[in-house]
Amino acid sequence: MNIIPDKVKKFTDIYSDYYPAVYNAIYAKIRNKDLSGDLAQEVFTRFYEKMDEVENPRKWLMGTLRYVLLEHYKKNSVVKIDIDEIFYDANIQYVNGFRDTRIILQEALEASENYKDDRDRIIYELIAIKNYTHEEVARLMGLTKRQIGYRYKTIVDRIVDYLKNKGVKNLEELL
Amino acid sequence: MKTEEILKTVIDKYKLDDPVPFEARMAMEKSRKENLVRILKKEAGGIIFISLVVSFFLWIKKFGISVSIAKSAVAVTAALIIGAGVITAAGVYTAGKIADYISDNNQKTEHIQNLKKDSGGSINPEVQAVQEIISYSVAVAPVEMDDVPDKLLSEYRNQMIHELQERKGVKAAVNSYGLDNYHTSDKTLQVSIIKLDEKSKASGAESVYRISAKIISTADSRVLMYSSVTADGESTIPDSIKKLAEKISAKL
Repeated sequence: MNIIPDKVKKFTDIYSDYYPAVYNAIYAKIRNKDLSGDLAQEVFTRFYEKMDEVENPRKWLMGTLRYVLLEHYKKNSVVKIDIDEIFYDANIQYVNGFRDTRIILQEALEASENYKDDRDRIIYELIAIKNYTHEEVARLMGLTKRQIGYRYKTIVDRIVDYLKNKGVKNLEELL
Repeated sequence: MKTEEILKTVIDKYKLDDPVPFEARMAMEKSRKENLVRILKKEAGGIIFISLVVSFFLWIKKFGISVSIAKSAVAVTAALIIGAGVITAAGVYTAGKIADYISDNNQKTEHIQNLKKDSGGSINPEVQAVQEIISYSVAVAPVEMDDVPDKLLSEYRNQMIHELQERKGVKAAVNSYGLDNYHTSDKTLQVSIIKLDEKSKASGAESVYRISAKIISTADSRVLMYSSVTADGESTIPDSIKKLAEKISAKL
């Protein structure tokens, strides 16, 4: 007996993993808890409708997130909105060596070879970028705290190796 | 310093971090469940069922156990079936118990009514409320008399009960067969009728009878009261029982 359709099974797995990332990305822009929930729902509702055509859920969700945010700004602002202004490149405001190092670091943090799978990337983002505790991430991902600790350490080791290949022999040099 | 901590410090220094406040994290967890229910309710059946499934699916994750939504649905369905089974069994069991209780009470009521009918008394509505404990002044034991049919003895006893109840109320006396958990008495009235043969033999007249009564404590078998009257013939025994009842009722 198939109580839950296959589409729902697949959607729920993706939703469960990516919802924190989508919500946090929206919250980072609008700083409103309730509205972030509403817009995140809109993103996932669209994803559910298009899911069969989507090859890379992460890319699709982040792309749709930008459009949903743009629609929100357009609807609620009299000033003309440029989506690139909303998702501007933060590196522009920094200068010289600081900016270069920041770009290298950012590349290291985004490089797909540093993550075994998308769940690794989510774990890393939540802990290193969004300041979630290991316990909180374990709760969200359905893993034990120990598993999260192990996976996070493995990711960090990969990033450090990546930076070594880029000429950063010792992380302390960047401090 | 551990490598993880150094990398975190580097990320902070180069302003690559974007911390999420605690309240926002809590709001995210709350909206995650609500939004999933809203999206799935159209596809996956009833809102209550999908709410339960999603709640279970997200709740079990908190313990580090990752199960699919399908397994969550199976678990919730099984729990619902078991729950329904337990409730049904409890309902059937309770209904059975209530039926037994009612049946038991009906039997007791019928038994008491039969005894009342036997003793010639009216059916008191209070008797039907078997839950109420009624304490009687005396329980009247079967009348003792030689060489007379049981039916006559039963009539004498019923007369005694009736006389006592007329004088002292319905709780003055009860047939000793009618005693149970709800109808009690701590005293027993024993009535005996003896034919005094000497007088009848001498004069050839109708036999004289002595009707004696004694009230005995059921707790220690002590005789609490004794009284007797005489009857000049068998036909006057009912009148003598009436006189004896007067004497006894004065001391109840």
